Amino acid sequence: MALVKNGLVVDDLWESLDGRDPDTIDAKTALLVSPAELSALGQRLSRFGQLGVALAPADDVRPLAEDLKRLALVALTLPKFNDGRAFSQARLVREADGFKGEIRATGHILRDQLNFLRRSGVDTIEVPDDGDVDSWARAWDAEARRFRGYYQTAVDHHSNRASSTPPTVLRRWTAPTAVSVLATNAIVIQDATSYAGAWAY
Amino acid sequence: MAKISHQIMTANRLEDGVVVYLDAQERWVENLSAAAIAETKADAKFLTARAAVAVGERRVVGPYLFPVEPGAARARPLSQREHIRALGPTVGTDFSDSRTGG
Amino acid sequence: MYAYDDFDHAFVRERANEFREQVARRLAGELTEDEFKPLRLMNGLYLQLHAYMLRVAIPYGTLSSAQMRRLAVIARRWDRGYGHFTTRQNIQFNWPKLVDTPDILDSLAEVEMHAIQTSGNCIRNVTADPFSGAAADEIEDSRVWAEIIRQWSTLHPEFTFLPRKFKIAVTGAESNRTAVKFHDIGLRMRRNGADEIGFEVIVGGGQGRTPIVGTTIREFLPKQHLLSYLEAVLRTYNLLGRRDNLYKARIKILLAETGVEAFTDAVEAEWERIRGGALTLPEDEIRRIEAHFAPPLLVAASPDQAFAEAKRAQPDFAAWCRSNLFAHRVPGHAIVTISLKPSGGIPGDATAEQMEAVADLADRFSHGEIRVTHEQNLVLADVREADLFTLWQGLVAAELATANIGLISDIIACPGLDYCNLANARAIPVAQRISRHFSDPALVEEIGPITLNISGCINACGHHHAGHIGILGVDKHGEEFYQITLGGAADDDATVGRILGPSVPYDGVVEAVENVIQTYRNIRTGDERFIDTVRRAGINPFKEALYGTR
Ligand code: SF4
Repeated sequence: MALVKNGLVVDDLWESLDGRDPDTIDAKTALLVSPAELSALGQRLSRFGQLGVALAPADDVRPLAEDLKRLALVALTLPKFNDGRAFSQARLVREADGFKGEIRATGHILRDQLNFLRRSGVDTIEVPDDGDVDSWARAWDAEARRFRGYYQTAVDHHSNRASSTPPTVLRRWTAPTAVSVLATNAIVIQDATSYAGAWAY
Repeated sequence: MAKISHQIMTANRLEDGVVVYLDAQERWVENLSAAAIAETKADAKFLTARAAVAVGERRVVGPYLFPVEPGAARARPLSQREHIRALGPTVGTDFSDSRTGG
Repeated sequence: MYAYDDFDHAFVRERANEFREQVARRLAGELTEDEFKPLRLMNGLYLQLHAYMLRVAIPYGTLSSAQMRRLAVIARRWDRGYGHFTTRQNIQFNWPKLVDTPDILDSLAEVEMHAIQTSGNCIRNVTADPFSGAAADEIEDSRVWAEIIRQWSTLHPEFTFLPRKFKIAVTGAESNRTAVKFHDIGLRMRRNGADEIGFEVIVGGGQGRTPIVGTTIREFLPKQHLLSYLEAVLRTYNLLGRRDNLYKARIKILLAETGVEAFTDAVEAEWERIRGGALTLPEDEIRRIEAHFAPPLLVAASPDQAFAEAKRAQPDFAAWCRSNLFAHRVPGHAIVTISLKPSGGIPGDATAEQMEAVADLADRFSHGEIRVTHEQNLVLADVREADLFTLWQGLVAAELATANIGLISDIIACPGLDYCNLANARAIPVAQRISRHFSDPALVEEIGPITLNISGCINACGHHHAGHIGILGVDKHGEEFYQITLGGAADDDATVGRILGPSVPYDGVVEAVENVIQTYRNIRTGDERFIDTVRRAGINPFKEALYGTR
């Protein structure tokens, strides 16, 4: 399935476990498991360099706090575009201490939601089956540029949280000089390439 | 009550929302009395298929059939809702369309 | 009032542009109706019975005279010359064309208005006390906080696809004029023991098919933490609220299903995680918003002789003063409510000419500012006593001088089956009949304070559950019937009305209301208010009188 990651078309190199015995799988595989598999298999998954978890909409993010430190991918699902739980899940994952990986949204996504997803911490979308990959990549950029700024801090912004380090998304933005809680103003994306590039983890 | 077998196909026009009915020439008209009346299952199926085409052509939104009591002069909708949709609000003020009326 | 800066202007324009593109994509076939619907709803555009309907936000119910004039222009140019003020401090236009709505939004943006989040499963237009800044019993101007919440919630990336719509109300006064206990979140300003100002947080109130009075989950929230706390509530709701059943998706059901304690624990735990973070409101940020709501300079005046004289000379004026004026914090001034409920009229409707007349009167007598109430009336908040008579004459000329605020003909009614796609029965013609029946001013005054609310279906946009008399339209085999409830209240003793008995047909509603009023007049003691009689005597006397014991 095609992916758009930070506005660039990339291949999906991840494989699901699909009931296989993890010991028979090459350790170089980027392996995607469910939370149940993650907790059941525990140590046996530690030899995989790239490990990800696919959450169902009802899955609670918070028990995964420790795991998130070593996960490279969290995949979320919108069973229907108007089921907005993934937005909060993304936010919690992105704000979790030590998580530096990819947050991928899958399922029924409208291009009009890209900005909301991005601002909630999602950096990759799985292009819907009938979608044209290039137009989705263009839409990602176009939606990101639609507004000069936003009324609320989210995870795509400089954050002045005292309690933890600013989220990694900070690299995308020219940090505003004065942070206003409301009306985070005039944050300008420098140019498309540097902004997409800054996202490669 | 008349049998539910008499039905008219209605929808709202996409670009302005105006209530329209499907007539026998497959045109969407604003006048209820010009609407085609389906009397058989086959008629209803035909109207439904034509309506689906019109949705695809982005001419109308939300088509559905509603029951009427056929009359000599004009068909009478059985529900108050369709009555009001056909004749406009019953709130007694003149809400004729001043935009086109000049 | 709040004035846009460059940022706000750019934002609202960009949003209007986005909608213009979405409409173009819809017309070009790139979006199906299914996909377009949530997008148009988030911009206040419905498809109703006869046409599209555009709901425009009037944040916390405050309008400038220039904005009111623009609404009149829109009514004339793109609609049929009138607008409908709703029970949630919005205005609805009943006849716009889809192809015209981008132009309407542009026109609104020019006067710092929009239709953002007036519908859809998101945080809706925040309502506040219509007497803010002027009321004698106020702790702080609630609009400051409503504006802060408006900004924070506007296109909030995380809370735009909630399980269901989400309504927030704020009040800063002792008396509760915003029905805070009937909102998803009601915020009530409080002073704590240390004389600090904060909020009591009331969650899970609501009307609709399961009317519930809200529960206080926090007695005192220091005000700088308002946004982080709201975010904790919304995140908890977004993750846990039901999505399998439309009718069980509101936060009130979540609260009932998890229990208040577990819900509160979840909110507090999330708040603990984020409190003190990026959403903490710095004092200067609060001040920046507050500065926009600085009260007009009013000079206290002693009672005006001419005013007293005019009341003596003009009984109509005196009657209007008795029902339509409220105490102002500055002596020699009054808060004026303009009734949009003339006898036989459509509750909440105003013609373009009336909007312009009100704008002119606001300019002359109330610093160019107008408020909109959830009772579907208008308010001029800062009028000098000495100007009241001239103002009243202006209102008489515009047919806006009905003297019935808080009385039986001041009926709240939703659009009902005359306009609304979801309706079971008509609401407006019922209101018209009742107000015509009770058109004798002396009788209406003698009946005294009472609220009568009508909804055309169980969605309860007409707040029938919260009316002293509530009327709910139901569909019985394709015919319009009406269920009558008594004893509802939206104030501090918020109560859900009780059903009186079997529903009555359309033609029997006026008679039934008359019967209820007769019973009240028979059994009230002294000048007991209607609601107090119902609370004292219960609904049985009314039931017996209406349905008999045959
Ligand atoms: S209460 Fe029902 S009929 Fe009235 S406006 Fe709301 S949805 Fe429509």
